[in-house]
Amino acid sequence: MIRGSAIVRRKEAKKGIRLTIMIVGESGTGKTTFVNSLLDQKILDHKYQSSDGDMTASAWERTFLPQTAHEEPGISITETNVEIIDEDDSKLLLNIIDTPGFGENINNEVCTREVINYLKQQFDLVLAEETKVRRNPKFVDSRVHVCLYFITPTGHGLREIDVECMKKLLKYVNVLPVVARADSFTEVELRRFKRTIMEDIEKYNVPIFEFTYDEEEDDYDVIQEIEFLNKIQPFAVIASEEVFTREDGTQVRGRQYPWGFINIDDAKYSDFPILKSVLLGSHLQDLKDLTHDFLYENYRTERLSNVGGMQFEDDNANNLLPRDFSFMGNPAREKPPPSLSNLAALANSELTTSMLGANSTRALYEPSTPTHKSSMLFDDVEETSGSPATLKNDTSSVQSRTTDDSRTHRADTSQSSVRIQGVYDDGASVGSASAQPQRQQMRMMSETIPYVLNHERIEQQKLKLQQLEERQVRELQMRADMLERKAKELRLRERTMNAQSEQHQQGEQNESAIKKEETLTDLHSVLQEQ
Amino acid sequence: MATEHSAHASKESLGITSAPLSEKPAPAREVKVIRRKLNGYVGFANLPKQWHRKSIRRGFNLNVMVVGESGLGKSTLMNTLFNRNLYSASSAAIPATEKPSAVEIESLSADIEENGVRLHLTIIDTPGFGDAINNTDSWTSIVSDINNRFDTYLEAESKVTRNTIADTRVHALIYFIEPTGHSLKPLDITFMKQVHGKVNLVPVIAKSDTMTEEEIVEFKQRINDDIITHNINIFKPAQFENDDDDTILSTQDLIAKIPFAVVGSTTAVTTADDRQVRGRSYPWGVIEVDNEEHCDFVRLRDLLVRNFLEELRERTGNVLYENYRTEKLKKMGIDQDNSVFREFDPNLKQEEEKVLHEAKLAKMEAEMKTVFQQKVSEKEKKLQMSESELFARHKEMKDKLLKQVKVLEEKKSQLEKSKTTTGDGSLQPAQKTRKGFLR
Amino acid sequence: MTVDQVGIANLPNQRFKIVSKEGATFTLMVAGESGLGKSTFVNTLFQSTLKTPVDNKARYKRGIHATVEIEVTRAELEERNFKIRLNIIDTPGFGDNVNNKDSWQPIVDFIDDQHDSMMKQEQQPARGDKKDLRVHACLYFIRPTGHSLKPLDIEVMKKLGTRCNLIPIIAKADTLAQKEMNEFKSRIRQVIEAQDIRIYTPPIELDDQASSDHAKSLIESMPFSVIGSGEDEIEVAPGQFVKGRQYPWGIAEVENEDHCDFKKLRSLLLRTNMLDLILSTQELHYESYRTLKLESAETGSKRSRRLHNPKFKEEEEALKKYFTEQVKAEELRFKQWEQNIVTERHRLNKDLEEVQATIKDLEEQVKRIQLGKK
Repeated sequence: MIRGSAIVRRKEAKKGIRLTIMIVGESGTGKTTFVNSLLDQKILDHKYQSSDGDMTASAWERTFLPQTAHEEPGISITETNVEIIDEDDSKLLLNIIDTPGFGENINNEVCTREVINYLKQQFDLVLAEETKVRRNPKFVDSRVHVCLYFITPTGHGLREIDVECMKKLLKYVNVLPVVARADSFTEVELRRFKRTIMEDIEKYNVPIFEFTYDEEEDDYDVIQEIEFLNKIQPFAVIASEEVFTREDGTQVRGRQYPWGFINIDDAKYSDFPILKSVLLGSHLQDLKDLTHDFLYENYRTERLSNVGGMQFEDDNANNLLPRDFSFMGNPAREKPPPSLSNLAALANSELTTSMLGANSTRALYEPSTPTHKSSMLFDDVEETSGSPATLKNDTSSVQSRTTDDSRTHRADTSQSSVRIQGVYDDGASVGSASAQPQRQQMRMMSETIPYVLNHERIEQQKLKLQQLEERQVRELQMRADMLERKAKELRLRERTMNAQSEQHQQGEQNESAIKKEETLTDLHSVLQEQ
Repeated sequence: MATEHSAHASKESLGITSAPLSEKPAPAREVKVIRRKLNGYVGFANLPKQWHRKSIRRGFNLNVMVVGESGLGKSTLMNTLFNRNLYSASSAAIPATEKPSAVEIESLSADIEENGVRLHLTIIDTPGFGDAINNTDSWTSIVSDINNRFDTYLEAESKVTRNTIADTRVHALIYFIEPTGHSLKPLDITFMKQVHGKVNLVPVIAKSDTMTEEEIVEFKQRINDDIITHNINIFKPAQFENDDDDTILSTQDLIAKIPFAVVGSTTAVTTADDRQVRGRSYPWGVIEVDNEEHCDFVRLRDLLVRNFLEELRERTGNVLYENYRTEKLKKMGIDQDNSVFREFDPNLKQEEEKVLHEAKLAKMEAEMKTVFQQKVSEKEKKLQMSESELFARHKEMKDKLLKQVKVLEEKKSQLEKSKTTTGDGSLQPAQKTRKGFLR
Repeated sequence: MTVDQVGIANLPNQRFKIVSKEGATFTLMVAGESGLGKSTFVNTLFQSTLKTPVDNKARYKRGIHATVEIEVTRAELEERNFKIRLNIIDTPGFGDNVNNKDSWQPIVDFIDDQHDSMMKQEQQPARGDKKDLRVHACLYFIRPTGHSLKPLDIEVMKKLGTRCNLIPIIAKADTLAQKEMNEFKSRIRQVIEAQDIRIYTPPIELDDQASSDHAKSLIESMPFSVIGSGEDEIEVAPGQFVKGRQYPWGIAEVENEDHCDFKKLRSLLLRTNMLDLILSTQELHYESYRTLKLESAETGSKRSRRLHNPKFKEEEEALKKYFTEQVKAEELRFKQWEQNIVTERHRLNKDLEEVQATIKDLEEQVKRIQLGKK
């Protein structure tokens, strides 16, 4: 089924463009600040509420407790939805996935695992929806389009966790490595660090997102730009939540140090404005397309070929794929489509959600409109740096939902918690609003769903399992002992009976059968000893 | 207490070793050391200043033993040295003749403060030394007292908790030589030889006002000759390489004046030019104690307190005590293990760990192997047994059964024989029997 | 000099002289995750390149999974005719892995080992030339996250604090603005207090106003924030050089008290409290280790050496696995054997049954014949 792209685009414009960004990286590398700088507004709360800052919805759980600081936080995954309305009425629905707690534990093996689980889960949701006869018209595609991996600014290179995590993430999401807190590097050091990272990426074979171009189709300027982007990877950013007023009255987002002031939107100082335009502008569509056409397809193929046999029900399967994969060579295309029954089983096994829908023709995906090279939000880099505060918060309604629901029941997230409506306004953004003409509206529909995963709970489970195993082993041992005892008894009885029978043997009655118990093995006790 | 740690601290805390910097033993693995002279000011050169401050806070202590025949002015000299009446009047004036022949050990303590610096002084007196007719053994109690003090320290040092070790070791022994004008007496030589390895020996010529300047010079010469010929170690202050020229000169001068010819007096007298000085007034003039021209008292004081007190203590702790301890422990049968004096080497440590690990692994393997083999052979035996038992029983039973068969067959053939005449159905049973065997 | 002066007032000068002559040994440990500027800090502190950065080739050789090592850099520095034998203990690899459980063990072991070695050396009859690597000060570098201490930090600091003079440091302080730094410091201080982490505090001598004021100002600044600088000094004005970091937006100066606490830390480490660090190591940490050790020796318990090399563990696992497999193979053999016995038994039973059947047959025949006879 191929639909006319024009129609879809109109629909799309009305509904808005959806983009899901995941931020991963060790805590304290400036993730939160980066997001807040990116959107020019305080969207995410910091790990700890600043003592004199505004108390926001979730402040109560973000109060700093020194007594419990030694407890490993595990990892949580939160979603925050933001709606940005451009002046031409085009909407951008941003979903920010944060991963607080990442890298903060003593043993961080759980972190990567949980992030991957989350990504897979989003793919599974789409997969399940795809296979439904009746589609849910309200289905929201929650696949993550890009993952910004924040590299700890060590100056040495990548660390084990960086390499391992990025390598694993690559299968499910476009990974863009980012060096945050770039203000800890001098120019020379930063160049060296970037080079080391790229060397490491090559050395450890971590194929991060690459900006590609078509030599025949793209014009010279675009090719130059793309090559530039590839050259400056990884993006080194400096972020700030503070807005300062310059002498000429303009507002600047920046960092004030005793030794100088950093304008974060100045491309001379950091790659922040470039990354901003790449993410929200020039490569937004590329990221989305790659996610669907390549990553998701690969996942899908893998998933389906793993489930059950390979029976073909071609008609059905073809109908399930609403897209024309012409965007790029897709290896997944060649694989045979799956059977419906398998899919249903898969969906049921994975999800406890009940997404009922009536509209079977609903578009699950945004269409592949030609890549916008010029930004939807920002015209180009230079302009952005000149007018940093372009976003203004008009009405912000915040919905904060918190649950400690377990990870598999994400959709069940209860609504039982606090609901606060209010306006986020730190002095800075208000200031920017008055100074700048209203160009864009931003509505925030923050749904922070902590997908709490207590590390301790996992440990406890492990322990319980261990105990269970031990108990089982002990029981087995006991049973084996018992059996052996019984065997001995039986043998004894047999012997006496044999003796008796021999005495009374008349030639007719004969206990000639050899007892079976004699050969019972007790080898597992040998194993036990080891 | 202020005096309690300083001895201990000076010895070990700093990691200061008595060996000079240059003397580096060549280890098996060359230890790489970066050597650099800094131009800028980093600040660790402030450490001596920090010690300066710290030492004031902690205070100092000094234990001086005075040995000499009675009547040589020991107590007077001590009183003069520290400028106070250390000896109470009662003990000072007891005539020597009333003393018993045994040597006694008496100690007096005093805390002296000067410009905020505190000194805990202990004077160990040995009344009765050399007073008997036969003095051959008069040093034994002195030597054993010195040893006891070392032992006490050794014991304290080996305790589990040793936060405060009182240092009672003798830091200096002032030996009074009678101003005979001849040379050292046999008792002097014997005694000095007994103690020179255990204490900082400071010989002084007592009551030097009884000799003329020339006599003193000659006497000193003879004493020094004796000291050299008898290989007696007396305390001589070391020269610091960083000292300025004045200090070097004055130290050299001080060494040249050994043994010090001293005069003690706490009474103030008036000199001819009308100055009030400590000294002794004679009809022919006044001997000023504090005048370097008149006697070596000032030199002695410099050596004991002003310039070399800390060195006396250092040498006591780092050399004399250590030597005593080494000998004592070796006598007790404690073997020296020089392998513990080794520079830390991570590679070496890794190798050690590897060896440990391999040993552990080997042990584990051996244990598991034996258990395994034992279990396997047990099981094998069991199975073999049941196998052979099975066959044996089978054979036995079969034999029995076959015997029965034989008996029956015999019976049958007998019966058949007897029955041939009737000739009734003999074929049928035979067939049946055969059938059974063929099955 | 008056006559009645004995010369006691000169005694501190003697100590000064002796110490000047002998120099000192100072062992400084720098602990913390990699990339926090530990090596740079050491070089900045001593104004000479003692530690050279790890080059990439060596990094690749080591592999991405780091094992915590102990690296000793020995130096003999001379300043104003005063010499120190300086030992820098670095702990590369700490905190760099995905799983950092027990990664502090080699560090803690090192400190204990030095105490242990000193004890053994002290017990020898002749002990002239003692090798002393006891850690006089341990600088723990905290990543400037702006949050607080991480569980790993807390765990390690707890263990270090009871063994040596622990001095927490906020590394790379040039990435935190003033307000952020203040909050960060306050949170760290709260954690240190709440978690009972023992850190070194300079003694306050109440009888000395100037020194107690200085000590108080040091305590107030803890944990010290530091900036490391490169080798070359930066020219801020013609002929005027400073140690610092040259950014496009300005120069962060190391020795500027408005920029970081480097000067305070240097004062604590060298200029004012070096002796206290050395003495407290001897009198507090070493003595308590010794007491503990001797007490446990009396009760007979012995510290068993734990080996931390992950390779060792792997080898052990492999050995166990090997045996498990052997056992399995043997078990299979036995099972087959048993099976054979069972089938054999069946066969033999059948054989017997057949003979029995014959017997029955014969008996019947006999009976019949007998009957027939009758």
